[in-house]
Parts: sequence; structure tokens; C-alpha cells
Amino acid sequence: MTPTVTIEQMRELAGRPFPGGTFTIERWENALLCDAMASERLPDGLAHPAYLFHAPLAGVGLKYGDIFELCHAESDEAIRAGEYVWEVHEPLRVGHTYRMSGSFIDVVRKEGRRAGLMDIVRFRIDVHDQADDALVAAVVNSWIFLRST
Amino acid sequence: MDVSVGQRLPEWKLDSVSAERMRLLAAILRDPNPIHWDPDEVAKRGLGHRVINQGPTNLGYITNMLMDWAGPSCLRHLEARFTSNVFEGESVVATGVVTAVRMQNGERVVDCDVWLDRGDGSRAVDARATVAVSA
Repeated sequence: MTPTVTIEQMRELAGRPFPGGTFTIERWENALLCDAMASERLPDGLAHPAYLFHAPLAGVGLKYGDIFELCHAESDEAIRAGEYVWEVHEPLRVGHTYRMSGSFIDVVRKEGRRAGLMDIVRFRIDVHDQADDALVAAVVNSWIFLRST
Repeated sequence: MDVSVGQRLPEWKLDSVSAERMRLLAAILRDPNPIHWDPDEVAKRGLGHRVINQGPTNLGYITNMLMDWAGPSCLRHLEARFTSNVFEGESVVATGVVTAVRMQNGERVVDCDVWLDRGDGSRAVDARATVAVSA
């Protein structure tokens, strides 16, 4: 039995740009995010760096579910977090609006000894401060999609 | 700030991971995955009877540890892999070790191996970080 999505279909994602857009770090949301991270609020208007998980994706106009659909996830049990890489040039700040742009980088299909067939999908999102267009951060994430065979 | 290769970073500890905080983050992220807020769904998946902490939070604990040590704007680079789940009620400890001290873009930075361990000693997150430190 072969998986419902072919590697050729998955590789068509490589280079595909995300819609793009902006994300504003609101004071109230930063307060709640700090609480969720078991952290005190940071001084000097700094936002918690955990924003780098969801703000880039939200800013390019995608929800988790959109990525799962684009990557032909078979179920929410067939998705695993891969690697997360953050480059931070400037800390994120409360009240700032960030412009996000990004795209899928590549897709690699592998056979794991225990997990079986899987597609590893990498994407990159650049985070620019809208005020001066400076690149403040870049994230490269990989997610793993298990394939039934 | 005195820093040397091999130096152990101060531990950041949480005695009990909170289900309420998981629900809060699920709402912020608009993450519909029920393993973070519905113990029955966790059980259906054969993962026990306690809800599972979000990966972002586990890495967030590591950033808390780094910020407590080197300051709230210290983070320059972080790369992480999630190696096991953290469940409601578990204790966790984030710490690390310095692997290099060097200059980068005109500032003094420290490379570290960092990690988050569960109360039973198993590793939940394996990561490498670069942080800026005062001269």
C-alpha cells in the first residue's frame, strides 16, 4: 500500500510562498502569554520570546490547520514537531507591528525504523519591524507528517 | 559577567505543570488539538490520563532560564528538538552548560547546550542557544 500523497506532490510545496501579512503584539496578549509560560512580564516593553512560535505563522496569514492541510496531514495524531530554529537580531516588543514573509523550503521523505514513512517539511518566516523594515528575527521550523503505508 | 566554558547554567524549576496554563495557551494559539485540554482525548490516544503541555511552552521554560541568567533581551539563537511529552502535574527543570564564549557582530556571546528535563529525569527538549552577555 502506498501513502495517499506522493513525494512529488509534497515537493511541489518547496519554494511556495506564504500569503504574508502583519502581526501586532498586544499588551494584553503578551501578559497572558507570559502567564502561560510561567514567566513574569519582561521589563522595558519586551515581549516574551515564545511569540516566535505563533506570531510568524499568524502573521503570514496561516493557522496550524492550514499548514496541516497543505501538507496533507492524515490526522492530528500523524503530526510531530521537528526542529525549531530561531535567529534573533532584536528582541520583540509589545505594541510593535511586525511584517512577516516566508515560504516552504523543502520536503524530505524518510523511512523511520519505528515511525515508518514520514515527510519532513521545512519552512522559513522572516520577521521585520514594520516601523523601519529591519529584519528582527527569522524562524525555520520543520514538522513531521507520518504516512500510513 | 564571568562566564567560562563548562560552566553550568542556573536551574529554572517548575514544581507542577499546570493544565490551566495549557488551556490558556491553546486559546492564544487557537490550537484545536484536544490533547492540551481534554484528558479523555489523551486517554483515547493511549497516552495516559493527564493533558500534555504544548511544545512551545516547554521551550519557553528554557528561554525563561536563559533570560533569568543573562537578561531579558539576551537571546540571539535557539535551535531545539522535542524529545518527549510533559504531562500535567509533572515537575520540570531547565538548565544547560556553556560550550563557547566568543565575539559575534561586535558583542560578547555565549553558546550553550540547554535542555528541559522532566521530574523522572527524562529529557523533554534538547536545544542549543546563543545568548549575548555583558563584557
